[in-house]
Amino acid sequence: MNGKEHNLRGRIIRGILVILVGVIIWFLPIPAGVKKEAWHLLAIFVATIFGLILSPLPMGAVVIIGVVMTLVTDILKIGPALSGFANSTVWLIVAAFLVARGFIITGLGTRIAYMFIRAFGRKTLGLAYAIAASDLVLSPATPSNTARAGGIIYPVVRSLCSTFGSEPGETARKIGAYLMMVEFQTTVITSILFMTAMAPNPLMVELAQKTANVTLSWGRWALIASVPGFLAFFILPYFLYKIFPPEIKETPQAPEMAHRELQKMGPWKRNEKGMLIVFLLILVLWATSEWNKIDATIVAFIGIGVMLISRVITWEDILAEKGAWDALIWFGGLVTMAGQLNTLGFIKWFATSMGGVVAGWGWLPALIVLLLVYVYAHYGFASTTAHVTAMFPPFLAVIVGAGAPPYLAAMSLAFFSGIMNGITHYGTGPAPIYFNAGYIDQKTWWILGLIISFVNIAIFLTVGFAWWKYLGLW
Amino acid sequence: MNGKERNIGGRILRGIIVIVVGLIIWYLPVPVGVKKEAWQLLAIFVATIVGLILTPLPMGAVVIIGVVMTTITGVLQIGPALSGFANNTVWLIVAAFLVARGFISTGLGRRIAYIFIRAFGRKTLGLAYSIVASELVLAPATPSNTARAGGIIYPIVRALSSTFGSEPGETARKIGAFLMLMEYQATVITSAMFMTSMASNPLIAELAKKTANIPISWGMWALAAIVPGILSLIIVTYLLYKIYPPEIKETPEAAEMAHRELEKMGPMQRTEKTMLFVFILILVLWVTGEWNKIDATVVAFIGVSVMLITGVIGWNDVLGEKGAWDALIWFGGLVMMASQLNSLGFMRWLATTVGSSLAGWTWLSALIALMLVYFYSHYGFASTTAHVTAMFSAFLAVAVAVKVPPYLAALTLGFFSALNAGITHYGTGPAPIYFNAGYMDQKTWWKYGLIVSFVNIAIWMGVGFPWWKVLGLW
Repeated sequence: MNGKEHNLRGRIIRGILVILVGVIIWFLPIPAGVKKEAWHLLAIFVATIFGLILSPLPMGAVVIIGVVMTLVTDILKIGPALSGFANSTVWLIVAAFLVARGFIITGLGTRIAYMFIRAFGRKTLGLAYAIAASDLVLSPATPSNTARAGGIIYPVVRSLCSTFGSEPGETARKIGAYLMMVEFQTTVITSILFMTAMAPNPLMVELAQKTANVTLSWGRWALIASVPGFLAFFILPYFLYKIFPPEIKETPQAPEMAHRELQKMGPWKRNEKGMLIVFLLILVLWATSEWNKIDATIVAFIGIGVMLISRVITWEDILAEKGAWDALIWFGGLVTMAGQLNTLGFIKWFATSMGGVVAGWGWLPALIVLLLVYVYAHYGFASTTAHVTAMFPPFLAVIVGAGAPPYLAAMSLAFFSGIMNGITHYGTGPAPIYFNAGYIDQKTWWILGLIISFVNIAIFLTVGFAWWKYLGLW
Repeated sequence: MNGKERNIGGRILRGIIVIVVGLIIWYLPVPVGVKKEAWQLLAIFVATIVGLILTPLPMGAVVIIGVVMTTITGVLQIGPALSGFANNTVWLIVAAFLVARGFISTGLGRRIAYIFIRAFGRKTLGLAYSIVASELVLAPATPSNTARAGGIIYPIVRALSSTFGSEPGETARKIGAFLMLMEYQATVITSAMFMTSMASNPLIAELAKKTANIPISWGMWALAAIVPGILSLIIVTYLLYKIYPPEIKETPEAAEMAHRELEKMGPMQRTEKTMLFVFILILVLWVTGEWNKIDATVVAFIGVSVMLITGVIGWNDVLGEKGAWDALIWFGGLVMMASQLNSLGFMRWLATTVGSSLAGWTWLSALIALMLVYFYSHYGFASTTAHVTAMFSAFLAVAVAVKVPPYLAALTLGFFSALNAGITHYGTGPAPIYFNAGYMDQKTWWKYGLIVSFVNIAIWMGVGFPWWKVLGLW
């Protein structure tokens, strides 16, 4: 049996498992207080989640099949089943993917990275901060952290390593291992900072609204994340510099290289300038959304309109941006299912019955224990979206059921959904890219990931909670 | 000034015209009986239509900008503005594009064509009918007539022409010119025959529902079109054989060539068989839709699910099917605007106003006049969708206002929306492909296009009207 057949058989077995899970739940006795349709929808939803985790087919295909099942079994009519595809948060993420495309096509993302390196890259620590800053600048309008850390930053980091003669193997620790780890862990943190910095973030906004009736704007998310997020962002490169030091400390060649690259790119092109203007426009409108009252999705689409008119991107580029269409399908489908579960009263039933589990704990211990369980459960997930879909709604329901303030519960779960991505080399899109670069072995990767997760958790539980108290979230 | 700059200059100019049209309508005095928002929406809608006609940007880009304009002017809230993207007819067309992808990627479409040619291709007329038969078989599940006639059939027709030594120029009339012309006219007819055989057909169904409140199912469309459609295919092909005869009348080489090609393809692959099964499944469910009560969109997505599960198409193929995403955007956006215009009461106002000016005409004479104007105004359109969007709703509303039976009006206008594409070499997607093959000059193309249009109109009115009477549609 060759590898491909083996692979195919594995997929079939996983597919059968997914179906079995659904069938078993479907035929289980329905608990008192739950409607029949709600229970059957739950069966399909749970099977879909298993599909996301075991991935017998890619995520989007699993979600489509899940939605089709709700239709074939007549649980949902076609109207409600498609409702997720008119959801404005879903289109926010589609639009953000299209904006991000512009960073890559125009080369603006790469230019920003080299400019930071030219300015701050004389020492290794400065270089690390320059790379982190590039990621940070791009993050509000790049919902695919894979595109950001993998597509834009990775090539820059990789060529920097080679510049210093640091290759996988003996010379890895010269500088490459450190830079790879810094950038990977940085993108984990920047993914937390903005609603549009990681694709599952808007999904959580929708789930929080459906589960606990917590509404979040783009600006509010950024404000809530800002203090603990930036603290974690600033501590990280220095902390890693101390516990995982590079051999090379001085890097005068880096600014030189950046300078050369920038010269090669020549003066700012019209499209890059256009992209920069659009980016600033979107950011300003998003950040001031509490006052200007323009919906975040409309803002993103205004940006796309400008990009199309000024030909920063073409319509052909938009149609070719597979990430956007992928997100539309899986996000829209999941939002549909979660929303219908809520409409059918399932979420309320679940929260009431699960409240008893942590009864008598007090909400603060319950919150902290569940957060930790939530984060480290990520060892078992190869996708943030799968993890969020599977665990975010029930955990939120239970925590709120235990008496925790809904905003506090939703936001800490949301941020911890970002923090958890740093612990493995498969837990989020950029992880395999940086791991497979070959500078760090798995053991080191996991140890460093675990230590950094402690630091991040500590920051968010102390400084974060204090900041949110100040903001009045609890 | 080089060509590219001139091109940009032209595009900017056309873009300005679009904006000016919108602004003028916006600031015109609002007629009595029309709501202010309805009028403002009309201004954006008309500007969008002018944009589709002048195409300063591709169709999808124009529609996106139109949708953005409705939201930033405050005419529509974000919820209604996105409602078109949850419309099930929109997703029907997306799904049909994905199914059609399977015809191309599995090679099943080519195989079907070669099987017909092997069976009936010994004489030129038989060859022509083999091509027509392939068209007809593929049509119900290929909403892009460009993919069908251009992607699947064109390479075969082109190769056949070369087999007989018929190339553009001196040898064109040997057989190539005839085959090109008859296949193009055949695809125009098959485009009219099924709701899913041309992308703008479902748009017609949506507009008919929104404008005149008449739902048209997949089965009803096919049933109404089958008699005049088959008749048209038979007569038009034979007519062209007589009035535009090929020099070669016997084509034993064609059958041989098909035989060779089929041998090269080998026995049917697993994916081809599955594709065939999916195709038949979809067709049966669509045709029996009146009885099985499964929504046509659900049927198409069942097909897509089976294709995904069996690996007939990969998820990457789905994401890479640009036609589907293009249709989602322009179709969703246009449906939304048309339906909002309708719910704001604009269509009713238009129909009453124009209808009263046609008072005194019998409905039949009004219908014929409207239809002829509708048909031949296609000389001015480079896209069926643009034509339908611009004229269908208005013409239907007026026809109904002068007491034309609603189904008769909607179906006639609907079928003519496809048939009218035969008159030019730019009127629908496949036209430029077949014209640019170079077998015919423009004068010949237009002349035979006009003749065929007379025949089609005669058949669809002479036979179609009685047939629809038998069906009880009027």
